[in-house]
Amino acid sequence: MMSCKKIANLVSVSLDRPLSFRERLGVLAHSLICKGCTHYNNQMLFIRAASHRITKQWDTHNDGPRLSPDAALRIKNSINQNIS
Amino acid sequence: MSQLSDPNTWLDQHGDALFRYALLRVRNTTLAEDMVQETLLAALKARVDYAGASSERTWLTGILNHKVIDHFRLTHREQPLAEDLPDDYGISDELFDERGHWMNTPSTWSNPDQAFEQQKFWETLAECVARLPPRLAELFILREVNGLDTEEICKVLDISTTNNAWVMLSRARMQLRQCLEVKWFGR
Repeated sequence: MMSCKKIANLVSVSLDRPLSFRERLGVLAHSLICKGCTHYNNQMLFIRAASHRITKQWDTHNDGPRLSPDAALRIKNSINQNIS
Repeated sequence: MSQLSDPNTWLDQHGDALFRYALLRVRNTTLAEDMVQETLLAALKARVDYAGASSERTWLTGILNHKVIDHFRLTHREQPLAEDLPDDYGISDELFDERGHWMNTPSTWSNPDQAFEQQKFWETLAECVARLPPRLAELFILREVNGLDTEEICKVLDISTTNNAWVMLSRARMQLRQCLEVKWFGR
């Protein structure tokens, strides 16, 4: 039986390349008896889903950090100077 | 086919969105502001070549994204990623006992879907990404936020093997998980 440490690594690797048959079998067998690694797998999927979504989320809802008034003014001035 | 609007309106229309895009990736306010400025100035020069195939926002974001990738490439050339990994799996030994069992077994995160509905969650996520060691953060961002595959990332960040990239990604995700667990899920 593979250790939790090895399973946790394979769970991450499975997000970057397809696992081999042996690796998949190892993860499956381990997950049947280990709740911790099952939760870890779900958390990795959650982190992926959130990371994929954040750019669009901020774009669509126009929330998140904003340019400071100072920076906006500086950028505006530099555009004005360069419009030909 | 779309047409460009008056460049004087670009900052009001897209400034905040471009800033957020840059800040999430470069994790430094001044640098992100400079990148927005450089992007708009580059767009000013390139506007005669705008073919109208994509929206103005998409076109500007594309220019900005090039600048972000160039920045990553440059900083990695100056400060290469340490690829000598202290343990087999890239996951801190502190998290596991000598037999490879969890020291603190992960438990379920309550209502993760509700997190997506809350503006504060996205700021926490960005903060946790920014707290990763810089090189791991950039690796993670290229993979999970920009969606590049590992081979492309190895070229940008000058990582010698895809295997090393997988190990480092595993470490980045593990650290990000720890951060979210403390800062969002309150453990």
